[in-house]
Amino acid sequence: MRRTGQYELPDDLKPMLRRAIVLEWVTIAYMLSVVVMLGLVIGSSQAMRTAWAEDILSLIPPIAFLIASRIRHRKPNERFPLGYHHAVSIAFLFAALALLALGLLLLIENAWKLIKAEHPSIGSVTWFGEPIWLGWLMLPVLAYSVIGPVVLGCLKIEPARKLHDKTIFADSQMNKADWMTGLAAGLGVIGVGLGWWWADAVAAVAISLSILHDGWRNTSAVIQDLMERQPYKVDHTQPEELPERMRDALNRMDWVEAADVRLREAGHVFFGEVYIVPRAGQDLIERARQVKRELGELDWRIHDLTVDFVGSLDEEGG
Amino acid sequence: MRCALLIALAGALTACDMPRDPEGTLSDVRGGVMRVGVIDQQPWATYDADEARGVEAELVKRFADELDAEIDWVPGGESTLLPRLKRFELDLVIGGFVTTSPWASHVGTTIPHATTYEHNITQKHVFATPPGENGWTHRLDRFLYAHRDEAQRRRLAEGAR
Repeated sequence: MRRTGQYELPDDLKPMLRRAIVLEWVTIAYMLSVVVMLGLVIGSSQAMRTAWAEDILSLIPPIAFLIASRIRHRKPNERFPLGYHHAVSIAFLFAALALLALGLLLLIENAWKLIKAEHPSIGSVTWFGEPIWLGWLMLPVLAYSVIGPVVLGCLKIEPARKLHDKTIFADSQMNKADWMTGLAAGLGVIGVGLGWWWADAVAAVAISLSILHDGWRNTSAVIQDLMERQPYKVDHTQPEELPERMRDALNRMDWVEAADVRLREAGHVFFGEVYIVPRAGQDLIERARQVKRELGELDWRIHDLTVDFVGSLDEEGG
Repeated sequence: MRCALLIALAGALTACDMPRDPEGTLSDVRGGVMRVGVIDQQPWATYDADEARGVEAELVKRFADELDAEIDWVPGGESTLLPRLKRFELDLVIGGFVTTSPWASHVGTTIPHATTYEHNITQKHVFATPPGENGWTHRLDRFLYAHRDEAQRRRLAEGAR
């Protein structure tokens, strides 16, 4: 089968990709330190355990991104003539499903503990010659677990938008929402300290709901991506205007009678078809080259276009 | 959310007597009665003729003195005393519990009051407290920490006997 050309990121975006990769490595290192520190003070607080699970899960998007960013730039070959661009979406599908499953599991578990009115015991540890209530240690560790992700989440938005990378975007959204997890867990711990046994389970339920929400949003987004629905902006809020811009550019060409396009997203690039009703007496091979060149210059994400000349835009199929 | 954060911070700063008990064990025991489950286990605790003895029983008596409380000893086995502890019908259960016991995650445990090393196993000995009574447990932790060396001495003395 004929292969598509190898995709190359434009030179001006390469530093942005490097920045994204560094940010994701920093995220992994930071979250690992959070997981270790939270693990040390976790006690039998459900809210802490749930926040801990969320922090472990937040390792998945950076890892998915780093693995996929290696795979997706592989050369298209005989077996994969369209290249490896969908690797990102598939990696992300697994991450989203993991979130969904764990969110559900934790929600059921914590709701059950609330119903059974289980009283969480938070004991003491001996540090610096003094028995210290573990709750006092949880609060600074929670604060530490929140600061890094929130800063990193904000730093990742620019690379996500510029690179049109939905994995980085979803990751940044999860990071930015992390402060709510930290706050909920902190309120749970303080509530337990004040003698409200239910505070811990209520906080844990809130955190599981947020995990569930992340999982649901990401699963639905990535499934729509894999279904090749019309290209959307990286934040999934509205469709790309690129198809209209392409149509306008085509209609401005004086030899074009009528034109339409169809685009699909593969990871962060677009594949698509261009349908043109030409006026009579054109050198169509040269015109097709011109169309690919000029439309390709509209946006760096346009990777592979097929140009089809038709008698009318109403023709079925093609 | 910002509002909740402020309230939480204010709560944390003003509430320096954290942690507190959901079921009020510490305030009930202070100047009142401490209901202590005793599981027969030499040399930690034994029950004989209405009186508990052993390393842990002696510590409990000292603790009750500190809180100005009477002790109501309740002898029994693990299978009856721990469910009663979970239902807040007892304030404390003693009798050679260690941190690795399977029920340790269902009730509260204190900091270790003694560490033993037998048959290549290091074991940290604790008391069992009602689940979630964190104020009560923390008060007991502070008592046990203050008497830590003494507890170890008594244990050695018992072992040598």
